[in-house]
Amino acid sequence: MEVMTGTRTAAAGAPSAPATPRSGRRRRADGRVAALFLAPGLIGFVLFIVVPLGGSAVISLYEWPLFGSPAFVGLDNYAKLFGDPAFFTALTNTLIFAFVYTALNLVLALAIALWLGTRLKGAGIWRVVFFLPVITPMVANALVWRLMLSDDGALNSALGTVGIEGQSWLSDSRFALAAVIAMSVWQSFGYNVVVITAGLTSIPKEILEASRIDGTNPWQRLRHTILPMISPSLFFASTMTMIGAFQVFVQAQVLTQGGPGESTNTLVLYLYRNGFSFDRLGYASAIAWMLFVVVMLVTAVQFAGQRRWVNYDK
Amino acid sequence: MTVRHLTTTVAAVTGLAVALTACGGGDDNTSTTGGPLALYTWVSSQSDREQWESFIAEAQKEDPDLEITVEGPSFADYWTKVKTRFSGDDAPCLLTTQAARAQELGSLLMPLDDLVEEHDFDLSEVDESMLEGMTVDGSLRAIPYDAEPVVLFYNADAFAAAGLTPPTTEYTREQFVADATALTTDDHKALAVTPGMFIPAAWATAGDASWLNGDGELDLTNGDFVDEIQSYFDLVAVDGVANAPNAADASDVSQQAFTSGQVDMLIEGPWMYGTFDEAADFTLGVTIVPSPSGQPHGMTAGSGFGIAATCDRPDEAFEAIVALTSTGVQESLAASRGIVPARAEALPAWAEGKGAGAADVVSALLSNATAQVTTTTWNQVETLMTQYSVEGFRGERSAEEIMQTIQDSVGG
Repeated sequence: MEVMTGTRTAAAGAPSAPATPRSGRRRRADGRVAALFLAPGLIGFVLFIVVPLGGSAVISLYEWPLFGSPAFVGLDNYAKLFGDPAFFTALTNTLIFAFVYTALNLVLALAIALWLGTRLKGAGIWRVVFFLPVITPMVANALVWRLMLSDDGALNSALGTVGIEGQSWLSDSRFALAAVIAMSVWQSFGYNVVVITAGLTSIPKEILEASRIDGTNPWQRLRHTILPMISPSLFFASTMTMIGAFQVFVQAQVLTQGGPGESTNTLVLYLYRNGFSFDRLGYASAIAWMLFVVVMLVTAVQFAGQRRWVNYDK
Repeated sequence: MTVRHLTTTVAAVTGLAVALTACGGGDDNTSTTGGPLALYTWVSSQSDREQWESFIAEAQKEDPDLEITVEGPSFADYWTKVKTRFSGDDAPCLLTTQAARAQELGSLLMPLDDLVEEHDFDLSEVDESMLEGMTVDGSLRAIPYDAEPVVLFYNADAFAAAGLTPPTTEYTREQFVADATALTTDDHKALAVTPGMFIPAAWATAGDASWLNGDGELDLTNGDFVDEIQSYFDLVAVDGVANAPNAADASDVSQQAFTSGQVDMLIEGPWMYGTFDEAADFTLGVTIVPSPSGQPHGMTAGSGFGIAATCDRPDEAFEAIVALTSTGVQESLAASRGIVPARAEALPAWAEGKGAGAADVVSALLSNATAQVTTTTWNQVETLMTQYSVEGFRGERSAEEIMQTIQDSVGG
């Protein structure tokens, strides 16, 4: 394998090797090899990320119907966006969803992962059970939840048997967003259970043993030993969960259609409808860019904040 | 592997990808090179495909040389994909549209007025309301094949058991509410309602109100229309004869509630007659959508065949449409598929096998019918009404507030 040999040689010898014509040629050859290895990923990134991003930025400057000629409107779509109450409602709903959903998801996943980390019989089976919703189709799960949460559904029937009056979980604007969050947490916390479990199992037993010998109680061990040790896992889980949360779509579409009123309308649902139902691709692209900016900002804040609480020391 | 080999491999894979991409580009151009005409329509299921094949087979009895191929996505995807499909160079010549979507698809559809004249096509035999529904900017864009006035289905056995007189071709709102109240108990509702604008629009039409102003622009906030919508909301919020639906409840929820006997009445299109009759184990009754005066005023929904604005074989396409919408085809489809034909002379074929009086109700509604004419923004109206009507049914917001919100959102 000439390529691999060349790469290893270059990596090992680069700092001290004299700049001879031979090594220059080798470096150029290595560069070409590196470019070739990078090419599949890079081409995919450019074709499927950079080009669509640029395309949507251009489209957002047009009034662009699915059929017919687009008309250049400059920043009108963005100006219209800032005067659109439905956009701000969708943005607020999405922010509430993202933060509440992420917090509940992580707390539940951490609790379950800690529970599974005890000397529990059948922990593997439980792990599979909690992971099952993650691998089942979101639409199917949402449909089942819609049946459960309907006025004469399983939840209200169960509440009725213990003398509690049921609620219109999906039709009452006070409960609808909470119902969407509950379904979403149930659907996806199993993934974070796996991530956090991986973090927990990587903690050296000696450290936990040492903290026990030092006389710590379980809460102190969790607070001062376990959480700092799994903070990289928690950071990864929180970042990815938050990014996913901003893209919430199916749950609102299937459970409530964004209603009642606008109480569960989310940015991606609003974006989708504008693009593919209301025939306003330009406006939808402007919404997409606003969503992109919001997700970038939140993710940047998360990365900036990690210095304070994420510990990479082992 | 050497660098040269790697380069060769990458180049080969890239070349193959480009070749495959080129091979996958589009269907044959059926609209510009002669041969069969292509029909773009909704094909949600095998049943849909069989329906279109029946149309074509029956039309071939009228015109043996007629050759039509069918392509298209599901009904739900149709309204988005039809716009992208007709943006390409190899677009089909024929397409279908609903009257309610004719405005939205207006720019895709060729005006047919000249072709109607050249081919001496007699429009007087076709339902007038549907022709109005297929008219965009003053020109006809599609020839309808059905004209389906929205009706009120009811459980005749439940009416008889409650000692109520089964309604026929006249039904006042007052009597309807009285009957519904009599049929409603603590754990049983008389009526099922669905979110969205379709049924409220039929209700408002029965009350002689419209969501459009004289210029055909959206006018949801006019007093008559708001009053009609409020009276529809009040069936749930005030009269309590129906449960408030969830926003995500599709029409199948209310349909199932009706056929299973959970409710006794349902406002729906007459195309559901066969399905209801088969699913229900009670005697199916049909009457008009109740109106304040008791006299019928139907809102017709229906579909038709149009010619793509880009079609360069318009004469052939129009001859195909003439065959597809002929009386013989409509009689056959009315009998076999249960569509209410757009030609009145074919209506007896629909009446075959239906309950007594069903055809009288449909005829009465068609004698005073208004098509569901909409605007290009109707899809947004429908979506917002689906979201907001739940609050109207629950009495949390008035029809006036909701109509104002939707009108403001849609922007006229």
